[in-house]
Amino acid sequence: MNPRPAAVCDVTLLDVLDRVLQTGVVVRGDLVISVADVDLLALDLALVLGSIESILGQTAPVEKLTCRS
Amino acid sequence: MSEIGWYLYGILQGPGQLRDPRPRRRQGLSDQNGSSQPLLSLRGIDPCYSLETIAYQDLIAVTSRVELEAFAPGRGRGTADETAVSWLTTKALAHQLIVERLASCGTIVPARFGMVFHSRPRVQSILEQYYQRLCLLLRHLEGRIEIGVKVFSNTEVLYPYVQKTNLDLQSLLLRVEAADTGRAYLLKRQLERKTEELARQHCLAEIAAIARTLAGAAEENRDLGVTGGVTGMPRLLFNEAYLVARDKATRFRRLIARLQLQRRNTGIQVVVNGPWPPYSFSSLDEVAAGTPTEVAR
Repeated sequence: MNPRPAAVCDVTLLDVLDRVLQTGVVVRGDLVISVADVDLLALDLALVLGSIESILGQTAPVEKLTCRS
Repeated sequence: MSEIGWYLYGILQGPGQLRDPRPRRRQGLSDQNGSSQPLLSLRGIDPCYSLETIAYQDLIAVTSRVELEAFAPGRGRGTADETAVSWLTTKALAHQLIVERLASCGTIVPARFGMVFHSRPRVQSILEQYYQRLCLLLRHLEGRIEIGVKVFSNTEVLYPYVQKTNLDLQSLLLRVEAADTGRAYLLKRQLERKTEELARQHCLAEIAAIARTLAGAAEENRDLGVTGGVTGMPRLLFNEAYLVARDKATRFRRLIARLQLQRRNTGIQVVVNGPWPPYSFSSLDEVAAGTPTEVAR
């Protein structure tokens, strides 16, 4: 038996933040926010993430955020 | 008014890609006269400004203007209050939605959140500086998507499952039930310790099995790291991104569904997220280092 493909719209806010803040190309150059600052920002944001978890009550696979058409 | 900067969403190859294919699909194929909506009319991360492209040779950077003040270093630093959280989540979501729309037009090297440049020529010079590597990366990412997989353990389900499926633990459980109060306490402690240890081993074996199965079906994978869990909450054991050929994505998802099915009610939960633009596979450093090997060819 072939199981149905796993749903692919289970994206939580934390998943989005994980991707957008920690991954993606970083190009060095004349950035207004230097790479170091981006990292710092991301670090601080890691703290913020903790509070997002408590605010949203999300630590595990929970509510679906977006579902692509 | 605050000074203006250019916020980068990502880099695509070739002009003329930036028309959203979706409206046309909705209207049916009869409408083929380019009435699809240009993506450039989309609002940027600062909704006062629309998207702008900046070209160098056949590469285009998609940007939009932002007021520098809003993105200045230090913004939100050290503040974990609800205002900072709400600013960040709104902006991060906007970034993701725009990158996702761009990805629907063609292969994209998605940018990390928060890259703001002083001027259009500066963005252009970035394209020039990284031209070769960006082209290699775009070629490597073509026709591929990113799918995320997380594995959680939930001890409330896992521990009873481990006890139920292990003969030693079962007999220990029976001895606990039969023993008098004093001895029962000691046996119970022993049972807890053994359960914990066997559950730990079980988790490691499960992660190894899941990783092996999925790596075989993907082009590449990246460990995204696990952070410390909160007591009493499901614990994140495994957090991986997979680069999967678009035409093999359904097969990959089937594989995940099978892994989920096999582990139902065992306290091990496999959760999939995505598909994403290839955020986790967009490192210029790795292209420079000649890995993945395919890129170097």
